[in-house]
Amino acid sequence: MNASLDSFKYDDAIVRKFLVATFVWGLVGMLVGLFIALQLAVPSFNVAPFLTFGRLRPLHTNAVIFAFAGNAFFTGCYYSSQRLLKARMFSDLLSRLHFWGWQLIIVSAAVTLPLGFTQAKEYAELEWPIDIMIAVVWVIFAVNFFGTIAKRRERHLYVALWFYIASIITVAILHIFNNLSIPVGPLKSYSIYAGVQDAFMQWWYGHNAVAFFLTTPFLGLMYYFMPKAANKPVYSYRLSIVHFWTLVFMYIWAGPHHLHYTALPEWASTLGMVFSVMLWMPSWGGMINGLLTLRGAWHKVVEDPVLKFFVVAVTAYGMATFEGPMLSIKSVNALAHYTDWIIAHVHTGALGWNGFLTFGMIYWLLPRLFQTKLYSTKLAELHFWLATFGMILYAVAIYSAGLTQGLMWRAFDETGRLQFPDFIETTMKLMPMYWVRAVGGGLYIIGMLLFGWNILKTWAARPKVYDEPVIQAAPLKVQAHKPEPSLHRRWEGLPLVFSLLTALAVIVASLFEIIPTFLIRTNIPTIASVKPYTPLELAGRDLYIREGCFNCHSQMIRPFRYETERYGEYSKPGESVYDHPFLWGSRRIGPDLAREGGKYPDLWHVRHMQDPRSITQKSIMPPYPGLLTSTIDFAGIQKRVDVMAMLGVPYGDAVTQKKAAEMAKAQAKEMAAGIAAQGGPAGLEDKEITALVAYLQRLGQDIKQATGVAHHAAPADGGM
Amino acid sequence: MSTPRDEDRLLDHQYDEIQEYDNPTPGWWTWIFVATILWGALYFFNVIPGIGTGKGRVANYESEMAAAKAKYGEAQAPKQASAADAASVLASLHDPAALAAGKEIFTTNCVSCHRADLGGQIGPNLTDDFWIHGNKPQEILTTIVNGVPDKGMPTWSAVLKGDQLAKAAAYVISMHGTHPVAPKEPQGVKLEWAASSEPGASEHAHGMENHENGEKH
Ligand code: HEC
Ligand code: HEC
Repeated sequence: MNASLDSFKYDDAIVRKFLVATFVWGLVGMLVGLFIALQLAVPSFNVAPFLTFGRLRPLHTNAVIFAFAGNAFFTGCYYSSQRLLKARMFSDLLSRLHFWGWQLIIVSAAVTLPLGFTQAKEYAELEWPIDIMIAVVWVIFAVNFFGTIAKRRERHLYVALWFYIASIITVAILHIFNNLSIPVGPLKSYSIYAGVQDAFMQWWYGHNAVAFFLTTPFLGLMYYFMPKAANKPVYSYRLSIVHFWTLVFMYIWAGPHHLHYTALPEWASTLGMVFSVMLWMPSWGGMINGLLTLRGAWHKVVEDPVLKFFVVAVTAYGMATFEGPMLSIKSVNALAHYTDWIIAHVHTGALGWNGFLTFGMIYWLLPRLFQTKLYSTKLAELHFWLATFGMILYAVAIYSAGLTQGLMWRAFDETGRLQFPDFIETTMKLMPMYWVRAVGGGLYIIGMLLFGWNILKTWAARPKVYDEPVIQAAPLKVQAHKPEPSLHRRWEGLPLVFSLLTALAVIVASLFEIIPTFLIRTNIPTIASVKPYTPLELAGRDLYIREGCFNCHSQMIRPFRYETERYGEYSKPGESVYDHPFLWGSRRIGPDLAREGGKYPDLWHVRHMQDPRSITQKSIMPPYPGLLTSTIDFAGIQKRVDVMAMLGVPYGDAVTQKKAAEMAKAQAKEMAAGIAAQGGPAGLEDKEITALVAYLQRLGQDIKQATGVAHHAAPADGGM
Repeated sequence: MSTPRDEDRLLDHQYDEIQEYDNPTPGWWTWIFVATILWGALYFFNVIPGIGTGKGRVANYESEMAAAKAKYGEAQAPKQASAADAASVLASLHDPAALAAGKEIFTTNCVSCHRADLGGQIGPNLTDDFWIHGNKPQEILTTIVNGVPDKGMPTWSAVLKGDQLAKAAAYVISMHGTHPVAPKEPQGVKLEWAASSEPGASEHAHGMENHENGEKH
């Protein structure tokens, strides 16, 4: 034995844990997805308040992104990093803390989201205590990961590790800055940003969460597992370098493409668009390197389900990253935004890229981790075909739904009027496609069940005691220093420099957009008639948030004739200056509500909320009869108003004289009397419905009073 | 010295047995990448007409609106229903198919406020003799066309098309004098039933309509 060699073992027990969690949460997340898909086709599936679409949709997205894809990334990351670095994880304790901490976060999410605790920001819905937990667990993961790098026995970092580093650093930055908020209660907070700035921060986060949680980690996994499974060298080291750095530097800028034609300043949206288009080739670099690695191994693809999954995953990645830049082109976006097209786009990514890559990776890992043969290759093969077919059905249905919706919303007849002025007409057209989507999703889930069976049976055949081979490698300090052929090669041996460069790329790019958005006053011209919500309206707004109405309703009218004809004057930046958080929404399953105020009498809303189908026969909106019986938390209103005032919302008397509750009660009493006088139910003066209706009736009212000024609001004092 | 597969030169490092080729980035990849960067810069700086944001989204919107106005006229202005419109309401009154269509339109759009039997709830009872905005066919049609947005009666000209409006109005008129259970208390002023005083409608025809509907309930 060579005395200068270290002997050590890899920790595969932690990998097995993450693997099982990946499957379990994947199944849960997808079942929730199927359930909410069915709710859109059969609204009576909204059986209880905590099972309504508005509350469950974030549960689905969070479960699939953070629980399924998250655990999948950790599985592959813990397996591959140890081997690529020739070292056991830095600390077994930190590995366990990471594992159990992450599962605890998921469980907290699964409890709080259906209960209506949400920050109303997509993929950042979880409330502040859970956000803190996420930050802590992420730091634990980072320490463990970078600690392993520190004690590595391989001087240079392989490309997979670059992608892991970029992901870990960037996710931390994104998570912290988007979630800055001031708590109002144990599970309630207000974002420190408002309106345009909040929207900007959210989509800076939202877009890059897709980038650095669903793309770069999985590219890292691909770079390890693809050449392993194919037993072929990676196609091009140089392409890896170029596409890694261009991705890291350019991804960050693209966020504003989620806000085209909204009240976000136009320069920001243009910047987001051009960077998205420039991102096309850097993204495809990964696809090329993946697919070309298979040159000369295509005959293996025929026999090996692992490679089959990988091929479809990389292809789906290529399609999604072509479609992304395309969707960010403004004119295409105008058609697709708010429609199911976007849902189709993310599912190409989630089902195809993340799902298939995970399946392939796990099928490859199963025999290695459980040290026995895979229970059934045939079942894996069947899983592959079910998932592929399910995904195709899903995609065909939802792409058609998106296009149909987009085209119907903008159709004018020969007299120049909207051809489908009744919103629900455009919804009914989608019903058949919603059913096909549900069938496609169902097939994908059946595939998941076969997958689970295969995992279970393989696990059952494991040896009594796992064989843990002893690995031998020379520590870095005794390894000979060879001259580095290039600068980049040198960086690969200097993880600290490498990480700092990555962080710098991300931070510099972010600041280029963030600084002007926050500092240039003319970006958000104030409108004198825009006033803060009354305390009662604010309470109603919080109910709107609690129920997740923003998952179906936007509050952002774009400057197109077909939008203003349907909804009224387009939305201005100055209108949402007091909106902590912003509620512009990203999807229109129901109509936009930015100008809802005054459109109908109060009683109409009461009846509609109680049972939407008694008003609009074919509505697919969930009923909220509970709001007519649950009482407003008047005692809590003062605190909410105080926090808003702290964030700079001019509340005057309501704060200095502590009058918020009193004001809310007075307004509720007056409204309740009006509702009773119209022939509605009596005694609503302390019921939540009154607060919610007060909020709905306020929407868009301020700007109506300022007609004339509305068109060109002068960039007056007070840019924020 | 060139080997047969020159492009597939293996680099002399390996990680957990993974090797890498030293292949260059594909040419088409590089060129498309460069092209998108050039295009991106041009677009952002908006200097060449046709590549860029042009005059900007607000200016584009305003010209879109102006073009529509030039083509279709001012759509939003409240309209007074004309005598000819009123005549088509009266014509519909005698056309069972048109009345059936009117009922259909009413069921989809109006029952949420006026109830299926027109007895009124959020909106007033439409079967009694009390009217806020007048009971002549022309007046009823005008109310439906323009709505009373401040009072919660929507502007239906934005949703319903020409003859649909007349059919809805005809259906409302045809239901006058029916007796819904538990109607809303009267609103507006009591008016003589005036539908028949319009050209084209005879006392007889009106009486008949009333009668028929009375029997239905
Ligand atoms: C599953 C998606 C969904 C959710 C969740 C949802 N809605 Fe709706 N909403 C709709 C649809 C579809 C319509 C159009 C049909 C109708 O009028 O009911 C609608 C209509 C409305 C309208 C009438 C708009 C108009 O101008 O005619 C209001 C107001 C409204 N919703 C408020 C809410 C509020 C408040 C919540 C949360 C408590 C909510 N919605 C939750 C889908 C949804
Ligand atoms: C959102 C509730 C709502 C809907 C839907 C609605 N109405 Fe009304 N309607 C009202 C209200 C409220 C009034 C009373 C307006 C006022 O006080 O001036 C009214 C008044 C009227 C009047 C005038 C009554 C009078 O006394 O002068 C007519 C006619 C009428 N509606 C017809 C219709 C028709 C036809 C439809 C469907 C196409 C319809 N309404 C749909 C709320 C509604």
